[in-house]
Amino acid sequence: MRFIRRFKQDLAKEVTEWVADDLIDEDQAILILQRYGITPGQPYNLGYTLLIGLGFLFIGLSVITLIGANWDEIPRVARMSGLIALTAGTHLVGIWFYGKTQVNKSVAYFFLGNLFFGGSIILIAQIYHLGEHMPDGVYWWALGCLPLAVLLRSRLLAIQMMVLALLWFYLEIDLGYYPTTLPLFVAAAAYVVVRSEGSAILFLIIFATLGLWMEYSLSMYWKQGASLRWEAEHLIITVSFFAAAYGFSQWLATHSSSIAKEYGALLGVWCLRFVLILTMFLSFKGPWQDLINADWNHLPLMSFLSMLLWTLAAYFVYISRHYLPTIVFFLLFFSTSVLLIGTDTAGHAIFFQVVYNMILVGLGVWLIIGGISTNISHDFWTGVCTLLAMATLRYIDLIGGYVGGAILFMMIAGILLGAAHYWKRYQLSEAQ
Amino acid sequence: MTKGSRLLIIAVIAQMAVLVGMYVTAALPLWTGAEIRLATAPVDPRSLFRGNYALLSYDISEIDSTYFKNLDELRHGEIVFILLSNTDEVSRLDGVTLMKPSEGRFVRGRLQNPNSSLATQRIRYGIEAFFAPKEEALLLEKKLRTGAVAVVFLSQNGKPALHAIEPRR
Repeated sequence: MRFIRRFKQDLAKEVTEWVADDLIDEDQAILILQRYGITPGQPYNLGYTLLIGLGFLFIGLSVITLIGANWDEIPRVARMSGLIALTAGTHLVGIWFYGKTQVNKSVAYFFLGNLFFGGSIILIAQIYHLGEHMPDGVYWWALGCLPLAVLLRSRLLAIQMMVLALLWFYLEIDLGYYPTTLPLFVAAAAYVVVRSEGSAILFLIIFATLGLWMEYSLSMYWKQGASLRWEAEHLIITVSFFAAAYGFSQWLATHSSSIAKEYGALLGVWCLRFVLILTMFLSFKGPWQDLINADWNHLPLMSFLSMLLWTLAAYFVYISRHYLPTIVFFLLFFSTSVLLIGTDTAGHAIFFQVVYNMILVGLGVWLIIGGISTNISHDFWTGVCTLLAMATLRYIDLIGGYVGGAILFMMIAGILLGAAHYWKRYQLSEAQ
Repeated sequence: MTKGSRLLIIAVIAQMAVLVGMYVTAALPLWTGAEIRLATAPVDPRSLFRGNYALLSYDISEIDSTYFKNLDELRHGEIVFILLSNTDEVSRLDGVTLMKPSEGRFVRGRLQNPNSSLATQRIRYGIEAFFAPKEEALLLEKKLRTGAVAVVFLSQNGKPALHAIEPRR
């Protein structure tokens, strides 16, 4: 996302110079900027907004820490009413700024008011020695932030709400409970993402939360006894989830809206990072041995959910007409899953390991060539880093001893040199 | 006043209602509840974001597994009612039930990770933390190491509220 933001800043600056040099007129400049979702004449004030937000965050943390001092000298009623008045007063300032159509200032005060609201909850818990179920306090804190985030369609307030909701989710999981109403917060955040000017962080938080919630729900459903376990089926579901997310990213990229395109690019980049990290993880022998030895006790539900997610991926890819990566990914996923579930010989792990090392090399080469041909430096450098990381990993963790490692390195060299040769021939044919 | 401002005021009022609700729920047993005394021992003073507190363990925090029927069918967090009897200064365990008793003195708790293979089961009542200024929390832990009594108020539905910690007589 950084490169998109940087591009926008550069474009705004360039277009201003084009107008000054009489290369284009102002109307054309506005049309160009609007095409990329840049509001003409809007100062770039991220630094200012960020500092104000951080300043208010530290004021809130200061109050919450002060509550920790637990001053018995101040009567309970005074402590309680003082903090509640501070919370209400801060919110009233927010409403006052909203009435004056100064929405940014209004949001900043609501953000601070929400922190005081959390401080008040902590104070009540402290005064009355409440310790029955600590996540409840965080839940009410997040829930209190929800209507303000939705009404103001504020990215900052929605991120504040989601951070608290995720904290509540973690605390509930830690105590072995199920956070049933998490989708409510996801729905509210999704509403803000769709109806506001857009927020890359919030968009990613929503996807991460959905993935975590789905995986944890399955853990709860599959759990045996008191303890939660990470089952092998979770990996299949996670891969399928990212396939659906990738399809969704391709669909977003086809939209005319610049925000949708940005979200599509962002999600696509994170899906790519997931694939690379997963493939690196699977370039070791241990994970394959664990997967081969897994019980696979939940195959029907796993198959159904995986199929559902892949159907979703296929639908998005069909309407966005960007078939190739998804088809290749599906064939690889399907053949690996069938072979993995079909075998119970731990010795087969080495075959999976070698194949996935080759795939990792293939991915690196594909990213380097793709990065050069499309002029996307991110892809190019990701490809270079992938190959270097892979070389380091294989040097530390040799496959089949020194001789096996040397053969693997020679095979990788063959793939790289072959790719370089192909690339040169392709460039020459393009030039002719 | 615009529609947006009115909606924001409603949202802020909702936040205040949450605070008032929490306050009333927490204080209600202290206003209307019946006083009981439970044997306790401060385990360990902790310092978290919420401040310093003494972690309390009660005699009724660990209950013999024989008090529970069909332990394997009970979930983590299951609400249980602990029946109490007053034989001396402190209230003591008299039985366990999953249904709210219609009479007698009882306290509501939540079963923690039930496991039929264990000899005892752990119950949490929400009165395991006694918040105090740092020095007081440390002093409390030192002074009451040999045993203490927690003054607790019980509401009609068995919800307990911790009022004070006193040395055992």
